Amino acid sequence: MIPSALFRPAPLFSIAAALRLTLLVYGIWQDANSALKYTDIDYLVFTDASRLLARGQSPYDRDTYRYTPLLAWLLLPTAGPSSSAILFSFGKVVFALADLLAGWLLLRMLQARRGMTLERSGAFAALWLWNPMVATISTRGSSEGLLGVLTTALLWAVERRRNWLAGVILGLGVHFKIYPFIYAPAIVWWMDAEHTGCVALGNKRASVKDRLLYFITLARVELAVTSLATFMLLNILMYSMYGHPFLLHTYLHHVTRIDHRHNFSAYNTLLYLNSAATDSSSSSSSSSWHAESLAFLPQLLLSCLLIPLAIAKKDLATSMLAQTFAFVTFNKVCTSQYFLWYMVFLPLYLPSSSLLRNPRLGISALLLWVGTQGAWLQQGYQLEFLGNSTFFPGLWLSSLAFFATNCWILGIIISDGASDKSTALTQ
Amino acid sequence: MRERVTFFHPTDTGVLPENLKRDKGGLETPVFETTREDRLTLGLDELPAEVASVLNGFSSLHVAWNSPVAYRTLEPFAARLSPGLHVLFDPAVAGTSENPRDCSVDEVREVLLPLIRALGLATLDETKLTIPKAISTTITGPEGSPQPKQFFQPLEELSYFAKWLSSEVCGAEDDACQSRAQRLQSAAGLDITYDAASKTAKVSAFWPLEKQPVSVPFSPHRRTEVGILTLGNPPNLAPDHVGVSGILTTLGEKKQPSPALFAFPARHKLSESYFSTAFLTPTGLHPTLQLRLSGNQPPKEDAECRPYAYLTLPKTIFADRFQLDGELFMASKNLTALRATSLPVDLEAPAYTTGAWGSSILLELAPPTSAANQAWTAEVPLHLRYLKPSKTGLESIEVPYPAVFWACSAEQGPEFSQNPFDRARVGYDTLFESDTVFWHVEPRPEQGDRLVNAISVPVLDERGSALIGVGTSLVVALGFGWVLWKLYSAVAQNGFRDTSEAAEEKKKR
Repeated sequence: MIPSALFRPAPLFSIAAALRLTLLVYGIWQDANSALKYTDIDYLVFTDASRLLARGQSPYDRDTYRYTPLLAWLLLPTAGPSSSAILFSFGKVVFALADLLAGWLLLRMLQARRGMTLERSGAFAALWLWNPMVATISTRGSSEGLLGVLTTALLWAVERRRNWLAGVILGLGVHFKIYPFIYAPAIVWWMDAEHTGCVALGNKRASVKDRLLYFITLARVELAVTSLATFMLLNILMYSMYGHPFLLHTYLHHVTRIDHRHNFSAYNTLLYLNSAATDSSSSSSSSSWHAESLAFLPQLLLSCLLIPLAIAKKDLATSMLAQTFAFVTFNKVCTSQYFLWYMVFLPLYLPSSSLLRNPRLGISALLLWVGTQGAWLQQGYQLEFLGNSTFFPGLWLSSLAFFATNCWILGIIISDGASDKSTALTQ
Repeated sequence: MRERVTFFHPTDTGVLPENLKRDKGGLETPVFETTREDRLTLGLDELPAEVASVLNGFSSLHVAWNSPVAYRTLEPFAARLSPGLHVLFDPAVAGTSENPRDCSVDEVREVLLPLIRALGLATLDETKLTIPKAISTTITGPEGSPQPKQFFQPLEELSYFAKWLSSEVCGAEDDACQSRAQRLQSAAGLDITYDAASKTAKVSAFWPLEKQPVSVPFSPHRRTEVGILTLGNPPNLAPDHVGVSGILTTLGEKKQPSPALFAFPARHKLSESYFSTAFLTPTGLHPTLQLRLSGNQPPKEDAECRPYAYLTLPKTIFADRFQLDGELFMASKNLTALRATSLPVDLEAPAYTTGAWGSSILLELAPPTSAANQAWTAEVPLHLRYLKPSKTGLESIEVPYPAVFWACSAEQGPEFSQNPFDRARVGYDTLFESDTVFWHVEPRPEQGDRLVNAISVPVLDERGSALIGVGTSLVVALGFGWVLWKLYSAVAQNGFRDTSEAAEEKKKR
């Protein structure tokens, strides 16, 4: 076992930072010495966009830049002299620091809200901080680490009753990557008079009108105003600077994309099939029913309505985990980077989870999650690199198996989140 | 209407003047090894009205076709293109003459579609035909030099064009024209050029170096010049010039063939090396095209020469221009840099939603620097688009050979247009300085004689279609149902209010 002293803050963060620093330096070395690059292709997209910005052009002049201009702004230092590997790595350093900050927020929340010892909360934070997958994704230059810090900061601000800050982070997060909007209903539902200690306008047990007024707490108003204002101000600013391409690539692209390339999503094979079919017979396509056009229904019902309703008031962190898990599982496109979106909440959920209380359940869930994913990856390798036609049945079946596993795990998380916390917490 | 028939033969073969036979005004000789080019020059008014009106939509046009079957050639017919049908063109200027503007894709379609239909060059599904912008980036070409728009379509042979000529252009009684149209089916190359300034169209067909009878029928409808020529080296030959000697004659005239000796600058030359290409296996979804070149020595010692590959890729396969970057990566493939790419190239879309015909790229190659001649390879990383599902789960596509050449700077700005056999605006030449000489490397497949590489692309097996629809819906419904059940039972058991001690305490406070 790892000595528990290592989970004290100083060693915890030193190791996390050393891990990232090592990967960063190794990445610079590999990029300079190997034709196979360590740096993620997406990072080249970001830095190309930053270079365009530095020359006074639009970041959307770079093909496949599908992000807010904020990201290109943030990475402007990388547009310096192209020979400097240090400057080029600036963005990766930012993403790695975002990881660490997210880990620090996790640690604070574990200690403050769950009343744990320093070592025990450090051990759970290490699930994120020492996670090689998280560190690799950030140091290769993928921006998902930024989402990690945005969502943990959102939760932290809500728990700390910093409603204005929470609203700003929420607005920024949705502007950045859309999906954090699913947290809005959970937070709003959670922000009742009991949780926030604020005074509501109406009386709890009176007429319908009073009960509606009772729902309007100061916290909810603050959150709604600041998040909407932040989101709209950012959009208006970006639209005024970059015009239609901003709307097209940051938002509309995600509505119109056909997602035909193979990925983990259960819908993927069906999407490929139907995208090819509608093209050949556009007239007759209306007669056939497309299940995937309704895919948003179970996804949004679960992640925006039912899960928050059932869990948010009891355990906001677990609700956010379950919502993200549902959103990713039922999404029409799913790649391994999306897993980071929910992994950041695991340290907050696991302490009270039946996956830890019941090791057989936990190990089964882990093995199934890794195993079905591995089966998909094996089929994907056969397709992508060997050219074998594994779309059907191999890839299709493994994506369905992975989906089924995720649904099962989601069920466990929901049961845990909705259960009575008074006993689990003090363990 | 003028006609010119030119035979270029190797210096060690040929035909003696006494073996030239005149037959009904035409010319015939015994079989000998030679290349042949037939060229027809027509005024706009001599063309079928339909064609003339289509040509009016262009300010300049070059339709070029090369056979996918490997062939041998001689200078001055040295230029090579990827096999298939290329159209390089400038639409007649839209907007006002003081304020010209780029044509929209739709405007381009409007001129190109009727052309292809009018010439019967290929059967094209019109709904699938979209025209991209032309190559817009150049590195060696003069900055901002306008590039023609381009279109490409694989085309196996000229039989459509031959049929169209025979029925629409030749009169039924014009035997000479009919036999000429027939012969097109064995041609290895075809060029149709139109220039709005001179209002003339030139149609040239080329037959490769092989043993063939010389037979040029006489027609009273036009003047026909015949040349039987070979390369020579007249004294005082200027650099980058080709010297030519032989005989010239005009059909229907009583005069004896006259000897000729002349020289002209040549844009396209033959290098001594050859190459083949193949996809490395397994091809997967990201195939690598390997170029295998027989030599690394530049064709000319006293000039600056660099080797290039110009790839013309159908829409099923493309190069990622952002990937072809970075010194180490490029060096590991024996490439120097991506010098030009046609735009737009979508980097994600499946073939069945991609509008553009495909793409073309110009790559500078990095040969080994050894002093002794050695064979070498270069690798071009490419990516397949998703194709429609098929009955077998596999779909075969064909990728034409690239044009591979050494580009050398000429010594003193030669006037290539003086060359009576010049082939300009072939796609890559406009990307270089106008005085560049292209030394072509001969495409020579290792197996068979086809200048295309086939790849088997994995696609979705159609046999799964029905099951995929039902199965996916069922599994998603079951998964959704399971989560709903868990939600219901959780809420039924615990309610949705916070009942933890902490919250209870808070309430009390």
